[in-house]
Amino acid sequence: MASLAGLGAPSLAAALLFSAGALVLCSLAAIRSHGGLAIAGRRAVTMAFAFTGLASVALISALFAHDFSLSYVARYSSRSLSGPYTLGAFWGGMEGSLLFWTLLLTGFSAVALERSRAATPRLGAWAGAVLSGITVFFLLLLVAPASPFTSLSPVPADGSGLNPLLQSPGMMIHPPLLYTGFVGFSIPFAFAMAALLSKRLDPSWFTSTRRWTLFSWSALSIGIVLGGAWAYTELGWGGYWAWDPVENASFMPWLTATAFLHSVVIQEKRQMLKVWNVSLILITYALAVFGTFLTRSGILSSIHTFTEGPIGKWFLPFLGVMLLGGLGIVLARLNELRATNRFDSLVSRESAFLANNVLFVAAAFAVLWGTIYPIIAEVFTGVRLSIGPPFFNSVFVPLGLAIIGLTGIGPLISWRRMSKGSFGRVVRVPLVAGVLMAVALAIAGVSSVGALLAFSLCAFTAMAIGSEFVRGSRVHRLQQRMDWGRALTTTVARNRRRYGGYIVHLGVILIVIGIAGSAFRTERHSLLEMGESMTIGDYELTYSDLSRSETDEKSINTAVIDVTSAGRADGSLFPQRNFHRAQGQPQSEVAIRTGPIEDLYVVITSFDTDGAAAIRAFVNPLTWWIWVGAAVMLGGMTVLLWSPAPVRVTERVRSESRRPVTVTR
Amino acid sequence: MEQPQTPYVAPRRTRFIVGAVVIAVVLVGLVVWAMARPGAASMYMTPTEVGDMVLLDGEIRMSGTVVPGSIETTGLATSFLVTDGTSEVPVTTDSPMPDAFMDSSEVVAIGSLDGDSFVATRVLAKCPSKFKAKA
Repeated sequence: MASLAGLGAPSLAAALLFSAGALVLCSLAAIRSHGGLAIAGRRAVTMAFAFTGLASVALISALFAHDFSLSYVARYSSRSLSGPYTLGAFWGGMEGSLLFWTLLLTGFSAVALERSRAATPRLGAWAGAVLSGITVFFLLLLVAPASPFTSLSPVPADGSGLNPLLQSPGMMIHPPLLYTGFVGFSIPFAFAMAALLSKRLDPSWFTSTRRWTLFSWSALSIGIVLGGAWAYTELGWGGYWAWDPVENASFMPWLTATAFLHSVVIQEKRQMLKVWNVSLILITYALAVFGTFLTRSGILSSIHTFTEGPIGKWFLPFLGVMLLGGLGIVLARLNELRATNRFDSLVSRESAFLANNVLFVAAAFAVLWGTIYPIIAEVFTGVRLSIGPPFFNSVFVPLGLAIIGLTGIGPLISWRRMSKGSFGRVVRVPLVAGVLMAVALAIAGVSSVGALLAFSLCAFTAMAIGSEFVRGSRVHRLQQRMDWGRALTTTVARNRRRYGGYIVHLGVILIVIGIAGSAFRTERHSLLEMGESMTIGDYELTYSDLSRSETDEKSINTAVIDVTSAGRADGSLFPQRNFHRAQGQPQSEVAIRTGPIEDLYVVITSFDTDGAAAIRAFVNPLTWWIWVGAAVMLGGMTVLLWSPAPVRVTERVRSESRRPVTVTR
Repeated sequence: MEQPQTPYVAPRRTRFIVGAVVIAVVLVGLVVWAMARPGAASMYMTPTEVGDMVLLDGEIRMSGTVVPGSIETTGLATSFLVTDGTSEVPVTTDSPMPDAFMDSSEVVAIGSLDGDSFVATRVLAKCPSKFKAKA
């Protein structure tokens, strides 16, 4: 079968030429305020996108045509690989994933620049220059050191196939979502730099890119959760997050982006924190690029760094130029970035937002420290170290709990200042809910302080958010004589930014409940002959049968594990341990019975020579809520993305004005 | 939270600096405390370095490749030799082995030294670099 592989390298070269052209044109357009040049620059960006698209089509067609004359195709796919996973091989390896990154970058750039042309022409020209600069870097990598179109000789009869671990539905969505998130931050980053370069430091740089920020942040959030879901269902160690360097690499930009999403609200409403906001988006984007570097350089050992590519050394100078250039321009504009307002009171919405930012940035710093400490220690002391989950958990639990509490308090406080009396009134009901939760759990015998605090804070914050919904709906119900359902939907629809945010917060609370449940995880590991049983929690697991079958790809061994829960027969689970021929590797397939109370998680870790199965079983309480929480977050994100961008940003915020409760009570 | 009404209010810049210092101290304290937690930081060593050590306290991560033919399984227990090309260290473990664990796998054994043998509480493995992939 013929493939379009021959088009790949020329397309990339053309894309490089066009993006270099766009860099020159957009820079000139920005410096000279020349409309014609700006149009030409935007067209060049679009052409770079078209040719990157053509190169992507070439690689995908080569994958589907099994054109093993391309080294990339031979390394990451095989004849027996099924269709969707053949597409997955497009981003399954280093070169392909860089091409995919560049495809997203050029596509996002083209759309964002096109959309900005009317409202913010000068900003758009500078942003085009910044984006084209980034594109040139990635295309240079793709043309020379990391070309996906390097040919292989002699041509092998079959490829080595995709790692069986990656052959999972989650892996079809998780990497593209993470890349979408990482690359999407290019847009607010470029517009922030454009604002600094053009001295247009009003909020238009982030209001015009608000949807990009939200969209990228949403993609990153869901991508991270899906990565956890993949680890949970595929890796067979019973957990979903291991503080692996590459997991951290996706989590750090998420933390700073979350801080950014919150702190731009202060700039929008109160014209404060301008330096902070441009710095945050700079840090977020630098962390996103750093994450790509970590994944690609193999500098840290990680489950993800199978590919120790030759491109690591290219990323550091790029990162350096970006960070130093960014910081330099921020410093050069310090005067223009001075705040026009000040903090009025410690008990104010501004302070709550600021505390939120401090916590998120501190968390990002702690994760960064734990991730790069081994590198620093090796450089300075020659000792090679590894930082494990106990460090990250110890740092993260207090910071995370503080963030959860603040999520509840923040929306209750009014802008500028609030009297102690009104603060006490709005905090009372959630506080009672939190205390009741702690007392109930303590009576039920929960002794883990972390878990007690987590569940109480979740109850507090859920009640605080819930009361916001009730308060809003009550106004609509009374004023417009609606029933509660209509009133609730009207409330959300009328103020999508606020209530969309609350829905996201509720999702986060559910996720935290799911994570806190892991404090009660139990695990057993037993060697079972056929017919033998093991117990875990209230369950008795009996290894009752084994069946074997063969496919082109693998030999499948399916065990039948009969489950008895609290003495009653309760169906069966079917974990597998399969042998993948192309990779010469065994692979366990986990069997999970999931539910809101707890998951029963069973995996065969090995078969003995005489047929006995080593069974590892977990009972994971509340894990189900993590996925439900992510779905709720996705709902909230949809509401947020659906909301129109704010039209006017200079509206004055009066103290306690948005607090109908003080009026109606 | 009742606060006494004080007539004296520190200047804005002073309050800002005090706040920033307090936050920085708390954060650094948190990180230092977390680094000292058991299992937070462990030494990363080669089999040669492990062999040269006289006394080793705490958790170690030993990385190397599995000597082909050295894997023995008895019930849930697994034993094998790890090499860096110079020295070989025997490893025993009761923990479940990852799928990629086989002859010539690159492994990281996490545990501690007991006499001449390395007792692992967890073993991580990367398949022999016959094929590569990324997640």
